[in-house]
Amino acid sequence: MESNWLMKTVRGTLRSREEEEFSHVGDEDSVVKVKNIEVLNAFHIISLSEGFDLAPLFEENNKEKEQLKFAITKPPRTVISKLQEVSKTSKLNLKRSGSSVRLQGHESEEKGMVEVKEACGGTFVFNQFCTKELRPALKDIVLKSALENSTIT
Amino acid sequence: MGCFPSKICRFSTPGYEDPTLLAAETAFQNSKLSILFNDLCIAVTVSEVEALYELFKKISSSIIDDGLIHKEEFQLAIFKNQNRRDLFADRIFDLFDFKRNGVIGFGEFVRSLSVFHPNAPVADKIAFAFRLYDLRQTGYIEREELKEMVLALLNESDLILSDDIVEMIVDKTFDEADKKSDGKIDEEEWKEFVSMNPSLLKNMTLPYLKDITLAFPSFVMNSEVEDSEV
Repeated sequence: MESNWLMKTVRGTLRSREEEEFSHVGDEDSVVKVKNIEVLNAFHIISLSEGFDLAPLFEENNKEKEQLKFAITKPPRTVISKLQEVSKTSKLNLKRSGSSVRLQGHESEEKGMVEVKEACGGTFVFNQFCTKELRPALKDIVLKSALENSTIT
Repeated sequence: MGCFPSKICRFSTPGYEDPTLLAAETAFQNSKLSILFNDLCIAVTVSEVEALYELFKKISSSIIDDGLIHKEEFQLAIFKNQNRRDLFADRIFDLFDFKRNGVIGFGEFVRSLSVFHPNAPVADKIAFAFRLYDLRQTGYIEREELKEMVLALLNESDLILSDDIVEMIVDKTFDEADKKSDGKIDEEEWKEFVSMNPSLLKNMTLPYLKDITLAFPSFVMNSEVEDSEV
């Protein structure tokens, strides 16, 4: 059963993990290691709710921050290599730290961030904030994987 | 000299509370700066609590202009849609409305938001989150409540997870959190659980609150010649 594999990951993430500072990685090569993926628990999922996020109280109306959450059975490196493609074509900086990948434009203007959490049984949950430009690129991945995987219902 | 900001008429609206008192009771600052500019004595009052009042006015007048935040006005502020009903926004609203009169007054607004301030004690954030998730206010987070919240979230978002996976996640979460194995999470178990998963408190801190005076400055200008209010 997959519980053994899952338990290994659980033990690995029981160290309380503060969010690391994104360190500038420079030229990212094709080998992307995603370590220390936080194992998802129900409260993580709940905290994704818009109803819990009071930030809009303070934001201007015109700043539209789009959120896209999706779950696929492809490993994180698929999403990350897709993001690398996007970053090359749109000349954005790609930085990664732990289980998050950040795309930055000039003047440290954040274009998007993808956070990946592992649910269970090989399913990965991606929580991503992005501008309108990134959304189409990532929608590709979601659609492609939805077609390939009938396990997602 | 006589540089006294006269604020009496500004703050006679219902629900207003003295910013100094609120600042003393909460994590918010109330500080004054005095600047001498040529012949004018400009008293610039930059107070986090007063800045919050500007925000409060904006929200509380958006639909019904009565100096109180109604549920629809809260929904409008969060979702840009006054009619959107949401389990989690309801919980936040109920916790903010600690007087339990169906509306959020300024005092309730400031005291509740104070918990979200980066400087607020973590223990307060942990306690607030616990009450938030205790849907039926039994003093425990029951397994059914947890599953209800997960399903509510899946319902609202693009996230699609099969029921098997949902059950598995809820079970795993409960195994991890419910140390006493009594089918519910009490506050003690919650504190322990949060210390192992600190990212769970992410929503309990709003960094914006530290810069709120920049977003909502409140200036009171007086000159030596005349008493004028901006």
